[in-house]
This record gives sequence, structure tokens and C-alpha cells, in this order.
Amino acid sequence: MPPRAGSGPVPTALEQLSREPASRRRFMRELAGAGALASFAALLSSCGQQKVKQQSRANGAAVDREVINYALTLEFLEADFYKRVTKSGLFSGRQKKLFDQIYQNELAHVQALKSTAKEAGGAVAPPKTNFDTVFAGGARSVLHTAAKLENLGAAAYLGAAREVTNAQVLASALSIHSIEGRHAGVLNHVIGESFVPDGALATPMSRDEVLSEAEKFLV
Amino acid sequence: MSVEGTTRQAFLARGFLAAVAAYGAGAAGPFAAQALSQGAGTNDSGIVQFALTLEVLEATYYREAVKQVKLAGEARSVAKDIRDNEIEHVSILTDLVRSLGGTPKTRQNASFGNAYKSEASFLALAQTFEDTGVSAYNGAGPLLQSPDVLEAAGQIVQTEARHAAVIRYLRGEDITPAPFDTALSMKEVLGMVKPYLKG
Repeated sequence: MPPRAGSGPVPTALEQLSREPASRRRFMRELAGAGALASFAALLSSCGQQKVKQQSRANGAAVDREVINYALTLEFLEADFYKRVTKSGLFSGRQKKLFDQIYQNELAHVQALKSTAKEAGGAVAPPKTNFDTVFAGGARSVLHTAAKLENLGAAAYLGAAREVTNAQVLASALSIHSIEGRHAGVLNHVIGESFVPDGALATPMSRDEVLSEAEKFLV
Repeated sequence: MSVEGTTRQAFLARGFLAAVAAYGAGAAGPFAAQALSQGAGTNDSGIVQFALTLEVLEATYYREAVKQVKLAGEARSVAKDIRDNEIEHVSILTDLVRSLGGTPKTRQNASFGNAYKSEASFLALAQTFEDTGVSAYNGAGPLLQSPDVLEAAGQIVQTEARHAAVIRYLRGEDITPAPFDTALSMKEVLGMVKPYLKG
């Protein structure tokens, strides 16, 4: 598997398997030839996966702390955004109720990740955010940005999941990842876009890709 | 996924669980605790087959619903989109079970009671299936050995979560049952879907 360089979307292992007929045929031929388990292990080790696993066992705690704080940074960003949304008076009725609920969810995520980060060795400070341009654009701009942030958050958790070494940290991350997916799906739907923009398989994003998008809202 | 030892595991869970409890997430939490501590004893191929069983059930549910249920505009369009995703999930997971050395089982005799009698009843059961799917994948995730298979499961669970939320939205329900999605063990999930599987 090609390493994730973060300079553009890299097909996931599954996508390479499922969507590129040539690589799928080649892979299945290899499986048929050498015996299923042996081939899969060979494929993994040839991609350096086993090496990565060995390394991460050695510094698993550090990796997990980094992932937790990465998630926490994004949650801080989202919480700031929704705090401003709820104070803006831009929404009423159903949309207001939706945003109030999303805000409460993000606050809970911040709390949980902050506690976990502290236990893991230390929590990052909240970043300074600026959404002035977004709010200057009014309700439509805010709705679109909300959808953008949620899709970004979901893709971020998805991209980070495979790095996590501790099972409990992974379970925690998964319990939030799917919530961000829920938010993203509904917000897309509300603005008239597909609730599944990537189709059957959501696309993960690398940390570099995510942070370069998030930076637009950071001071 | 290596479980590194009870002390550190419990240590890292404490703060998270406290937050989950404070926000009233309910009886089931983000950790399929039983499954994690017992190690479940199933390899990746078995776990993916379990997911495939759920996807076959869902694909059948939506495929037949689009044909049989009187669905209006938005509900019809959403049902079709979900149907298409679930059919693709079946195809993807069938290939994945094979590539992991298993023999995919896709034969099912499913029946859904009175779910098709109205749009309302269809959407209600759809919500149950989607929410259950999310919890199933979240429970299974930490049990997987391969990071590639984990990523695949993550790609699918996010889609299921999007389905779940839009169905809830169409029904006027809260789009998230709690700030954290719950995790269920394979045993719990199979218990929940058993009434719909006849063979």
C-alpha cells in the first residue's frame, strides 16, 4: 500500500481492492496461488504494515496522545463555531433545534477528549478561531460551512482511526466518528446536497489535508 | 488491535466514560466492553462475515421497500440512495471475506413483518437497522487485527451513520440518539436482527 503522503487523496486499501479491476484480479490471483492467509500477510508486510505495527507498539502511547489531541483541536474548532451559530439568531424552528443539538454534541466531545488527553499526558490548548467571513455571509454561508466542518471532522476521524494503538481509545474515537457522520449527512441533506457525497465508502483524509482545511478558520 | 493491559486501558477510559455519563448516553456506552475484554475470539474474516450478514439484510430491506412501499418524494429518493449504498456494501464485503480467506455467506431468507405497510412503518424499521448497523461496526472495529480492514469498516460505518441520521431527520427525530454512538457486541446485534432472519 502506498504510504499516506498527505498531498492528495490516496485510495484506501479497500478501494484498491474493490474498484481497480486490474489490482483486484492481480490480488485474487496471488491469493489463489499461494494460499489465502499467507498471501494477505505477504501483502501486508510488503506494504510495510508489520513494520509500522512494530514501531507503533514501541511509542503507542505517544501516537495515541497525538491522535486524541488532533481530534480535540477539531472539536474545539467546531464547538467555537456552533457557539457562535447559537448566539447568531440566524436560525429558527427546525434548523435552530438541529444546530442546538449539534452544539451540545460537540461540547460533549470536547469534554470527553480533554479528559482523555489529560490522562494520556496532556491536552492541547483551544486554538484561536475566526469565523467572521462565514457569518458575514449570513445563514446560507453558515449552513454550508457547518456541512463543510462536519464532513471534514468525519473524514479526519476516519483517516486517524488506523493509527490508534489502544483499543479503548479506538472505541472512543469510533463513538465520535459516527456522530460526525450523522451531522454531516443531515447538514448536506439540508443544503440540498447528497447525504453520502462519497457514495458507499466514506473517504478518509490525512492529517495534513484536514489541517490545511481547518487552518482557514484558525487565527 | 492489541489491548495493552487492564490498568492503562481502564485509565484511558475513565475520563471518556465520565463525559459520556454526564451527557446521559444511556445504558450502552461507546465500548462493547464484554467483547473487548473477552477478545471475541473471532478473526477478521469472521467479523467481516458478520458485517456482510447485516448488509445483506439491509440491502434486501431497501431493495424490496423501494418496490413495495408507497414512498413520497424525499423518502423515496433517500431510500433509493441508501439501497444503492447497501447493495455496494454487500459486493465490497463479499470480496473482502474472500480476500481474507473465508467463504462469503449471502443467502438469507428475510422477512420484515408489517414494516412495508406504510412509509412511517418503513422509516421506523429503517432507523432501527441503521442505528444497529452503526453500533455493530463500532463494536467490531476494535476487534479487528488488520488496519486496512479497520479502515474499510470505518468507511462503511460512516455511511451507515449518514443513513441513520437522515432517516431520523425525515421522521422528525433527534439525528443523534446521544453525543456518542454506542457499541454492541456481535452477539447482541445478531440477537436484534434474528427476528427478521428466517434462514
